[in-house]
Amino acid sequence: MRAVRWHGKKDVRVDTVPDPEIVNPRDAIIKVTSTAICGSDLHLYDGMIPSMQAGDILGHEFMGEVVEVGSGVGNLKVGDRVVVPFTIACGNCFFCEKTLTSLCDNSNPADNQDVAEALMGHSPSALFGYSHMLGGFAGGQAEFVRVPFADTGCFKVPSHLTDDQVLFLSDILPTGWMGAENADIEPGDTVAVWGAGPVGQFAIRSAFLLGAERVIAIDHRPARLALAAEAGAETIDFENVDVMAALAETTGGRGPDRCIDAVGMEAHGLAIDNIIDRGKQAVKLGTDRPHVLRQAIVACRKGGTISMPGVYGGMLDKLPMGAFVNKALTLKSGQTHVHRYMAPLLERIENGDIKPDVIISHRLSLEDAPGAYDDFLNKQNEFTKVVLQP
Amino acid sequence: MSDIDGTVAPPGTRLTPRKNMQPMERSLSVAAGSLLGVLGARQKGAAGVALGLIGSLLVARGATGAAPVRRLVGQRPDEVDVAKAAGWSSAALASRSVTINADRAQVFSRFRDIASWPEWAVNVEAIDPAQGDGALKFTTLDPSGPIEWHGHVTEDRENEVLSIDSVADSAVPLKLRYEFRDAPGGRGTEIHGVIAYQPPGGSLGRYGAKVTQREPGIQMRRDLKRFKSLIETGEISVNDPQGTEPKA
Repeated sequence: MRAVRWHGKKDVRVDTVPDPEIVNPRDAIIKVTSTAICGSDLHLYDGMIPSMQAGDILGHEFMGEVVEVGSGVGNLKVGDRVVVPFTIACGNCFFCEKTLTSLCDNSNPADNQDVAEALMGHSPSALFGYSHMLGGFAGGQAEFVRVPFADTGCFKVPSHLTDDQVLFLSDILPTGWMGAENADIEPGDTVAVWGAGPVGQFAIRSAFLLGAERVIAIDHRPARLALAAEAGAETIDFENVDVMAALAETTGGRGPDRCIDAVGMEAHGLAIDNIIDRGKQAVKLGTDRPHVLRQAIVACRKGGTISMPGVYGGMLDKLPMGAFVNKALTLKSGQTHVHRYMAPLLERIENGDIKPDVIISHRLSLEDAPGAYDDFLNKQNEFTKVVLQP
Repeated sequence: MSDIDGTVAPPGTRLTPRKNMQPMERSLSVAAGSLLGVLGARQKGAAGVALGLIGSLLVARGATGAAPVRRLVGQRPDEVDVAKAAGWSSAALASRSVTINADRAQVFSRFRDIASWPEWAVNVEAIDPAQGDGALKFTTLDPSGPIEWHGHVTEDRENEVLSIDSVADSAVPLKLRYEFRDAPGGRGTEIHGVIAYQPPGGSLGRYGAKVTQREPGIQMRRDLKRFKSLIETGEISVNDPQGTEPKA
């Protein structure tokens, strides 16, 4: 089969590789019909995530048709049309029973858990196509993919909805939703969302559905800010406006009640702290550029909440913890517990509350992946979201 | 001993007291350091500075009675005790625990089926329990290849404890002990595994084994996780085959 493989920093190729096979009883093989490039794939493309190996198959947003099921899968049959969550979850452990599926104890193979444990104390769930620390599983930017624990990991979708409408149930739609849910929005709240990429777009829409009075989107790509405005958000272009002053003044000096960091470890812009972080990254003295998190802590109103769907990878420093403590803020984060949100969000897609396909800017062939990665990274104004079809 | 031990210290976690030097060692350290200091003062340039620095470190070490490097790499106190009791030249000791979302009787009965250990214990090729009187024949994978050795069950309390020791003069001198407890709040069953072994090549050999991932404590941690996965999900998660090229 053809598959998109990582060969090193800024080196992604489409190669011919062996087809996946059923290995464990609870596996299924999916023939991929649509797959997308995620913003977090760009962290891999930039070589920011440790424990990648040359030849790893990328991709964690995908859907398709079941072509083979293992002997232990009772709820799927060949021909079922399914969306697959990017987090792999067994459905049986303490965390899965609490629907905290991104914390599954068992999906990350025991040997791979060692690296995660050394860095983080405990291992989260495995993810598709996202480094060996997080499972080393082949991803879904391919013609076929093996789905472990397929009986909990394959979500059946009705035939009257198109791929474009349901594909993002695999990651970014639930991620944006959980980002808004974690912000503990109360009626009348003003919510500031840093990053108007795909996750930010869904966080903005989710925040309104969860009762936000105002949503303010912060980015520097005009097309992305326009897309946020279409959803009813007010916008700040951080290249042209002093973000901190604007947030304070537009909220009557209170500051936004809830702040959502949908940017993570690779902040853009020429803020002094960000320039220093870039320098530290260049000489391997730093892992992340947490400019947005710093700004959110200082901007947030007293007693407010910061929700962090953006991905951070390592050790952060120079965080304003004094402000965090003295303003009594709450910080919530986590990889998305995708399984928990798929059914309720499918309902919202069906009744028209959320239209996920509005963020798609490009539909390309799987063979176009190398160029698409480059464009998604370097032409962010035009490339909001790329969907690939094998 | 001036240190307060505390109440939580599973085997292998107890540290050597910070002041770990004998009176004679301390005097020697101060004397040697002073001598180097005098020699350093007579030298000019970088060599003098270096001698002075080393000398002052030795004096500080002797004066405080604390040798931090030895504390880090040497045997820990309960390892010394285990080695003495077993008659080994040195011992390595590690605790590994895991929580399994299943009841204790189910966990124990599956674990007690020693012949099935190779299903989840990666370096165990075969265990033959048909030796009578709790005697066991192990075939395990050593860095050098498969080796055979004999052990026996020394303690077997249903749903509570299973202990296995290698027989005297075994190729692999080790002691295993697994305790089974209810996890609080209905969180299932905790297995507390302890492994003690005589590391080939002493402390250095032990660190070498860690680098090659063949160290028994690391193996035990991974094996307990595989066992947990088997009980909870009915299978053991594996990521191969995928397209990744083998590492050179």
